[in-house]
Amino acid sequence: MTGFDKQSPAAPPRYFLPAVDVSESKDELVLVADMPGVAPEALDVTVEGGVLTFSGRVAPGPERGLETVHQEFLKGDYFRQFRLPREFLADKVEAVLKAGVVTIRIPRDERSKPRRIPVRAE
Amino acid sequence: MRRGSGKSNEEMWKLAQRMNRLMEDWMHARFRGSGDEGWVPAIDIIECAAKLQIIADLAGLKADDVAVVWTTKTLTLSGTRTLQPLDQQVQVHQLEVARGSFCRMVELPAQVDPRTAKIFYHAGILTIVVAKEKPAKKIAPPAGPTG
Repeated sequence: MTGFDKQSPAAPPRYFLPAVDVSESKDELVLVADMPGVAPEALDVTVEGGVLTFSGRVAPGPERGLETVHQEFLKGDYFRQFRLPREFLADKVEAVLKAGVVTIRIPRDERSKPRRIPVRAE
Repeated sequence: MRRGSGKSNEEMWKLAQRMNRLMEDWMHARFRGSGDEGWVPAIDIIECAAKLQIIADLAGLKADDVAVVWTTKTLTLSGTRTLQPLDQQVQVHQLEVARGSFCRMVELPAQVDPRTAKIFYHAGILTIVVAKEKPAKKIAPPAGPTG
């Protein structure tokens, strides 16, 4: 699928790009994204103009009086966009967040599914 | 009494941790494709006067899926992240999400008492809070007879 991943000029100035799996079956398009540290109320999933956007806010680092002595897990907001192919229903997007992983499912438009054309014998 | 530079020791410790991390990344990259699709979770260590807080990015797991092994100076986290298997009818466009087994050992900046460890898992982040071991109290020798 070409031109699927899209980065918008509307993206925040600084953000982390979450790791995303994208797969497609005959019924739906599924995106699985790692967004550890994001609570359900801090996750936004929107579709506008055929572009799926998901972003999540992560609470800031350690409280006052604590010192970070070793840091690998950088804190910041997540942001990623994908242009949805036309054969998927942008108004039927479903998102579930569990254990820091968001799963987004977009059903395929029935009209775009392959169908067998009955052949009439004459 | 001459004291070592605390700042210098801390920098050396951070450098050693970075080297360990690079080695682990290299080892995992080296053996990737040999059947073991291992990954390396990111870990933060935060310190206050009495405690250490260890934070690990372990999205997609449950607290019970993670084995935690302590020594007084090291912590090892290991487990396996399994994602829903993909149907053969599924067409995959991209696979970026880490999966498979992981095993990560970190050296702690202070000795800890593992019996005090409390483990929390929320929103894909494992947080462990553990008390630092208290230094043994020096017992002053009994005063000798005077006079």
